[in-house]
Amino acid sequence: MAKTTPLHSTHVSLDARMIDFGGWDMPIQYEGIVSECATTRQRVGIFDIGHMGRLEFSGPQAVEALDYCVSCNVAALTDGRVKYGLILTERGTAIDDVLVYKDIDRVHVVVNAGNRDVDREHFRKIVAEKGFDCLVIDAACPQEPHQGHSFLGVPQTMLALQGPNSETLLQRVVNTDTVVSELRYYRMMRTTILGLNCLVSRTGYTGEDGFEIFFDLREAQRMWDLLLSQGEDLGISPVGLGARDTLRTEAGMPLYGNEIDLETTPIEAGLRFGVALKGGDYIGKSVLADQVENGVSKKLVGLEVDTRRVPRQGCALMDGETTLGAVTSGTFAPTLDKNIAMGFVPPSHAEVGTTFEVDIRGKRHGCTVVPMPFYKRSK
Amino acid sequence: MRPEGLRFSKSHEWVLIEKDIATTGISDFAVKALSDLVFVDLPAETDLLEQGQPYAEVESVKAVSDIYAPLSGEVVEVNEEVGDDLDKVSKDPFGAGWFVKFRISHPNELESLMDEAAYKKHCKANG
Repeated sequence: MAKTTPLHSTHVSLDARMIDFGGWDMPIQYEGIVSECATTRQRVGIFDIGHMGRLEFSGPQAVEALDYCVSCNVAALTDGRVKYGLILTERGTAIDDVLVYKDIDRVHVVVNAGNRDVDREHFRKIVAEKGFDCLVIDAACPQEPHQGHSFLGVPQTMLALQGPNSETLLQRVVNTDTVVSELRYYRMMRTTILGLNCLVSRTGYTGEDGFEIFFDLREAQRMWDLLLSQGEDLGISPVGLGARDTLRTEAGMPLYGNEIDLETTPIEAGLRFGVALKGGDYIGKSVLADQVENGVSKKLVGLEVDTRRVPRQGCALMDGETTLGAVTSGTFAPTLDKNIAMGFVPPSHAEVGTTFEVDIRGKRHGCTVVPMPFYKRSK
Repeated sequence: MRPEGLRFSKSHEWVLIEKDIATTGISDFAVKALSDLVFVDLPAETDLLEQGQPYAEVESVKAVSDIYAPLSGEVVEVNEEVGDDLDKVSKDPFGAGWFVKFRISHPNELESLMDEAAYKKHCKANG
């Protein structure tokens, strides 16, 4: 039985096309991917991201515990900072990629929908093994016995506002003491909306300005309705996972299961910015340090193709009869009006400007390594 | 525009017969299901079509889909305009959005296609 977010029936009543995503029955599109991408790039889109996991490290050793479990330097984060990092195996490969939120009395971790259970159990195992004095609370789970100790005290869900009009919209709905423009990129704050305690961060997965809002999941419908009605004159509309995936690909952002997985390290995937080599020890660190020092055998690159056929995940990248690697994500990019892809190749083929071929369903086409991100918003 | 006398395949291709020449494309149902079309890769003139086999592909933002030959025959004309203007397919799938015309080689295959009423039922069952 597929899992659902509190807004599931809302999506169905909006006639959204639903798909299974990591065990969740989620909207892939409402009006259409192209128009939903345009909404996000030009106005503001509202995304139900209640399927994503939210875990909290709480207790005297919360920071130390998480610092040992993820690749970014949690100990160095000042209150209110958000940082990208990865949960790694001993081999330095990725169990998941996460956002870490340093709150005043705890650390929040947002994890991928498909990895919620794996991540939680991994964290709890490490915490128990190392004897860290901290709780790992599943803040999204109604069955969580320690929910009373979570930030909200009740199970929470999550919505995202993404697009240039997000700030204006969010300012309209938060309490009058909150100045949204003061919240900088990759920062979080506590505030209230509809009188409800919320955690708001200036983060997202689209390459656009925007916010993610954590709040009581029982209030999901009321929050959704409020944001849609308050955002009407700002051009708001709901955006599904299809556009979300295309937007994040345009922005060169990795997706777990595509660019990163249990066979890939963050160094190989070009995620050096999520890896701290100073600071304390964490699982997988020595492998990453070695790769930074001595190089990697595969590298993630951005690609453009000489065809209007679209390279998709799994398409082989070829140099003559040698298989270099494969496409990890590929899409038509509506914002750029061209086809883009990401894929792994050996370092010998990873320089920008290198040309080779991609096999799209049995036919070869030329492709060129290009810089990432493909799309960068103007500030 | 939806001409009279269309025949349909189960995989949502339509065909219109004039003497021994068939015009084919994809139905409005297919256009809606595929959504966000970005490219159509069509065969060349003189290419041979075999009923039920893929002869073209349609790229949408999220997926690529094979388009199947509703009947067998030899391509005599290709609608080059749809390659550059997918709106023609989206807005007028039975008219300006046709894909190819081909000379029918096995007229008896026509019996396996659905008429408008049967196709409507088929779509309802698959909608």
